[in-house]
Amino acid sequence: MNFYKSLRSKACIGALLALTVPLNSCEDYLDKAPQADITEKDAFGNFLSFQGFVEEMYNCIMDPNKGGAWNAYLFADETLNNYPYAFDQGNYWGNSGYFFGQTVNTRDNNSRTKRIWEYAWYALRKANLALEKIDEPDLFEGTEEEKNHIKGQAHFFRGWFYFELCRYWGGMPYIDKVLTPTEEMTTEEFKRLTFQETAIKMAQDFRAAADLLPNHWDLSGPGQRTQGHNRDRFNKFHALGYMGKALLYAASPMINEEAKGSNTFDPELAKQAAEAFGELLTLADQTGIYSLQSWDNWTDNFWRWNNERPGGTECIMVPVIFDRGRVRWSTVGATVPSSFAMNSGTNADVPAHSFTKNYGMANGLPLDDPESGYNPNDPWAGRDPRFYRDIAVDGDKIHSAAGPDQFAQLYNGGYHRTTINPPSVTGYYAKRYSPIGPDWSNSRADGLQAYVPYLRLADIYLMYAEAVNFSTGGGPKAKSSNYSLTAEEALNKVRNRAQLPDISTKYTASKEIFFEELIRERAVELAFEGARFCDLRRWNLNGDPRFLDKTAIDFDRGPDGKPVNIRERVIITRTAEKKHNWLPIQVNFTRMFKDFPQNPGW
Amino acid sequence: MYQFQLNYARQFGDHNVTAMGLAKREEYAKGSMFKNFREDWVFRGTYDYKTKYLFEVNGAYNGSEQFGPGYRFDFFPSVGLGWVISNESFFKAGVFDHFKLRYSVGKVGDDNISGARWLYASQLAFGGQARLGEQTNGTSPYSFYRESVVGNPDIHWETALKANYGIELGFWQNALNVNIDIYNEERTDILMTGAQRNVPPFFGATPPSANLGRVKSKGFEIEVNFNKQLNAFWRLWGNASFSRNTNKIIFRDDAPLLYDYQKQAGYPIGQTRSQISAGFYNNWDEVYASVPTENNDLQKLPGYYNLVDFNGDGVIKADDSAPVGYSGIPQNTGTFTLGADLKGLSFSVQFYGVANVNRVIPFNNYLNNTDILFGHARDYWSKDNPNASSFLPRWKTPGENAGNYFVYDASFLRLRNAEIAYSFDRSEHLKKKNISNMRIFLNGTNLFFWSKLPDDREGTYDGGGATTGAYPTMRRINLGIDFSF
Repeated sequence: MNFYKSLRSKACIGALLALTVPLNSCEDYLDKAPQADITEKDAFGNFLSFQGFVEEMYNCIMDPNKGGAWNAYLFADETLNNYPYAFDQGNYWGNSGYFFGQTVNTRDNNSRTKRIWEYAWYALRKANLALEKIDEPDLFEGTEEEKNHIKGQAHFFRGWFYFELCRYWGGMPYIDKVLTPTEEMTTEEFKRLTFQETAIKMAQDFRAAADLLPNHWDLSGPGQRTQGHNRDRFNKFHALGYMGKALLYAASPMINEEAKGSNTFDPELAKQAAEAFGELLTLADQTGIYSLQSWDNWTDNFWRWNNERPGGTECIMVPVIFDRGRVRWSTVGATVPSSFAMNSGTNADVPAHSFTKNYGMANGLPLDDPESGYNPNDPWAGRDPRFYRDIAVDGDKIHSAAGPDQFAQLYNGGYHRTTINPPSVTGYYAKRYSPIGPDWSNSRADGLQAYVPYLRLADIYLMYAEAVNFSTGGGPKAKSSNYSLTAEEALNKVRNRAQLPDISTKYTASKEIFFEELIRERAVELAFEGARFCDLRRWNLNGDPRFLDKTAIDFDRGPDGKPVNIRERVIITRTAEKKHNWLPIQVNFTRMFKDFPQNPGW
Repeated sequence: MYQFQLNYARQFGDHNVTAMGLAKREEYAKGSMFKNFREDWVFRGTYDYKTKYLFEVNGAYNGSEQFGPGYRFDFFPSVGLGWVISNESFFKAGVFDHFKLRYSVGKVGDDNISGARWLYASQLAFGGQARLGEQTNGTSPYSFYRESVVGNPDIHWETALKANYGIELGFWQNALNVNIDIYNEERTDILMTGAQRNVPPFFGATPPSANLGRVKSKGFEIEVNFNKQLNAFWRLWGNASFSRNTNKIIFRDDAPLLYDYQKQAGYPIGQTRSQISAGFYNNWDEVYASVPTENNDLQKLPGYYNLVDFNGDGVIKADDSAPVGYSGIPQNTGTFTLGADLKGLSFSVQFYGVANVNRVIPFNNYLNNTDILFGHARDYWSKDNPNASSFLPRWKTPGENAGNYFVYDASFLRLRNAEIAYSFDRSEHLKKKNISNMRIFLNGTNLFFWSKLPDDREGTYDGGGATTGAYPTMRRINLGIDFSF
C-alpha cells in the first residue's frame, strides 16, 4: 500500500511537471523527423543534382506503342484488327493504353504505366519548378553553360508536353509558373486557350530552348560527363524541330479555322514554321550532326537487331527506352502472325488495303495517275520500294524456319488469312516495326529494338516543304528566307532517298496539287508512326471521304502464285465528324469551372 | 512510448467518484519508415449517486504530427449521463425490473488519411534515374530529385460530434433484455485526399489533402436477448438485433458544373449511379425512334435496352447516369439466433440478413472477346422472346446499352450457422477414463442463402468488379467429436 502511494505521488509530480512544459515543446515533439527532409539546396544546388531533377521529365515521355501488353496507337486509316477499333466508330473516349488512366511513376522502368495526360501535367509543373528555382537567388551554383542547359531543357519540356497534350485535346491554359496549393485555380485566368494561342506560347518556349541548348551534348561542357550517351538529351535540333512543328500545326486549316474561322493555312504562321525548319536544316548541313539515313539502312530509323539502338543519324527524338524487353511483347506481339507464338493471341493489327494504296509506283507516280503503270490485277508489282519494306504480302518469305509460317499465305482461305486465330483480316502484315522476312526467327526477335520516332529529319524536310508551300508567297518552287531548298526539292530529298525519281512536273503546277502529293508522301514515309491521325485532323481531312473506308483485299492464289479474282471489300467506314477534331476531355475535368470546357461536340 | 497515468477512486457515503488523467507520448515505426509521433493528454472523471444517477466526463487533448504548427493540438471532450430508474424508490419492480436511460455526447477527432504523413509539409524526394544512354538498357548517371508531396499548410483535425440516446429494459431478472440505441453524428472538416478534390489537372501534382467534407449520419439499434432455464431439462435462449444506419453527404467539394444528381452532396456515401433502362427496343422502329447514344449509336439493335435520357438533352451519355437504389453498404442489418438445450442435447440456428443495399456486378458477355457467356444470358431477348430477363448477347460489338441491368438488389437472408450437438459430460463411464467431456456435433455454416444476387458474395473489394473481389462464401458442414481431458 505504501509502495502504491509513493508511486502515485511520483506520477503526480511527473504529470505536474509535464503540465508546466510550454505547449511549444509539445508541437516541436510532433515536428517531422529531421532526416525526412531533402532541402532545396540538395536538389537545386548544383548541376549534378539539378540535372537529376530535370531528367525525371525524360521518364515522362510516352512510348506510343508500348503502353500496354499491346496497345492501339494509330487512330486514323492505317490499320485494322480482328475486332473493331473504337476510334474507327467515332468513339474517342477510350484511352487505348495511350492517352490517360495511370498514376505517375517515373521510377518503375515500365512503359506500360506511362500515359500522355497525367505525365504531361506532372512534367509541366516540374518544368515550371525548374525554371523558378534556376533563377532563385543563392540557390544554384554552377557555370553559365550549366545553367543554360538546365533552363533550355526546362523550356523545351514545357513546350513539348503542351504540344503532346494539345495535339490530341486542343488548346489548354498555358501555365508558366508553379501553382501553390492554396491558390484559386478555377478562375478566368486559367481559361482554355485555342490550339493556335497555345502553340504560339509553345513556340516561344522552343525558341528560348533553341537559344540556350547546345548543338549536341557530346559537344558541350556539361555534356562531357555523359559523352557518347547524349542522343536522347535535348539539343538545339529538338527545339527548332518542335518549334517548327508547333507553328505548322498552328498554321494548319483545322486549327486556323478554330482560331480565326478560316479553313486555310495561315501564311504568316506557316512562314515562321518554315523558318524554324530552315534554321534546323541549315544547322544540320553545317554541322553534320543529323543527316538522312541512306536507303540501305533506312530501316535503322525504326529497328535494329541484337539490342542495338535504332535511330541512326536521322532520328532527332525517339522515345526513352524504359525496358527494352517490351519490344518483343508490346511492339511485335500483335503485329506478326499470331501463329508465330509471340503474342497472347488476341490482337492482329494489320495494314488496311486502302492505306497501302498510298504507296505509289517505283516511277514515283501515284496509283491513280494514268501513266503510273499500275496493274490492278497485279497490285504488288513495280511499287514504291518502301512498300516492300513496310508491307508483307501473300507469298513473301516471312520466317527463317521451315513450316507453315515460312511463307505468307494471305489469300482467302490461306493459313494466315483463315486458319490461325486471330488472322490477318486485310491480307497484309506490317513490317515497319516487326521486320518479318527471310531472316526472321523468334530468337532474333527477342533482341529486336524497335521504336516509333517522335521527330526525324525526313519529317523535318516534309514539314519544311509543307510550310514553305503555304507561306506568304509560297508554293512548290518557293523557299524560306533562311534555307536554300525549295519546297519541291525538300520533298525530293525524301523521295530520292527512297530510290524514287524527282516529283513529276505535273504535280508541282500549283500549291494544291503539290499538297496532294505531300499528303501521300507523309502517309508513306511516316507510315505507322502516328503522324497520320494528327495530320488528317489538322488538315481538316479526317472526314475526307477518300480516307474513311478501311478495306481488305480478297483474292485467290493463282497457279503462278499471283493473286487472282481480286476484290476490295470495305470492312469499316470510319466515323469522323467535326467533333473528332479533338479528343474529348475526361468529363470530370470539364465540370470544374466554366473556363475549362469540354471540346465541341462531346 | 512513455506515459504518465493518474488514478483516483473514492467513495463518500452514497457518492462514488473516480478520476483518471493520462499523458502519453508515442513513437512507433516499422520497416524503414520514419518514426510516427503522437501526443495525447486524456482525463476522465465519473460520479454516481447510489448508482442511480451516473455522470461521466472525458477530455482528450490530442496532438498529431500530421498537421502544421498551430494546428497540431485539438481538444475533444465528451459527457455521459445515466439514470437508472429502476433503482428509484418509486419504481415498483415486478416483471419489469430493470429500466435505465442513457445519454452521451462527444466530439472525436481523426488525423488519419490513407497512410499519408505530414499532410501540412511539402517534401522533396530523391532516387531513380532516366533511361538515357547509348546502350538500350543504359541509365543516366544523374539521380532524380522530385517534389514528392505538396503539403497543405492549413490542414487540421477532422472532427465528429456524436450524440447517443440509450434505453435499457430488463424483465424477469434479466431473462429478457431489450436495449435500444439511437445516435446521430455529424462529421465536419473531413479529410479529403487531393484526388477527391475539385482541383484542375493543370495543377500538375496530387493536390494536398484538405478539410472539406461534411457528412451527417444517424441510426438506431434494437437488441433483444432472451435466456431462460425453463425447468431442470429445458433451457431456451435467443437473440435478435436490428440496426439501421443512414447518412447524407452535406459537402464533398463536388465540381460545381456537375448536374445536382451527379453530385455527391445530398446523397449517401457510395450512392449507386447508373444509366437507366426503360425496356427493350423490340423492333427496328423502336431503335430508330430511340434517343441517340453518344457512342456506338449505329451499333444499336433490337434486343438492347432503351436508355432514359435523364437530363433531356437529346443524347444518351455519361451525364445520364443517375442515382439508382442504395449504396453498397446495407442500411438495414439484422441477426436472429435461437437455441435450446435439453439435458446434453443442444440445438442452435443463426440467421443474418441485410436490406436496402445495391451492388453493381457487371457480368459482361464475351468480355475481352472471350467466348464466355454468363448465366443471366440464358433467358436472352429474341424476336420470339420479347419479355426476356436478359438482353441479346453480341460478339465483338460495343454498345450493348445495358443501363442499370447489372445493378442488383443486394439484400439477402442467410442461414449462417446451425448446430445439433450432444454432450456426454455426465457420463460416469467417461470420468473413469479421465475424459471430462465428450461432445458429438453436426454443424454447418452458410447453409441457405436467399437473395436476388447472381452469386453469393457478401462484398467485393477492388472496385467491386464481377471478376475481382471476394471469393464466394463457402458452405461448410462439419461432423465432429470434441474430447476434453
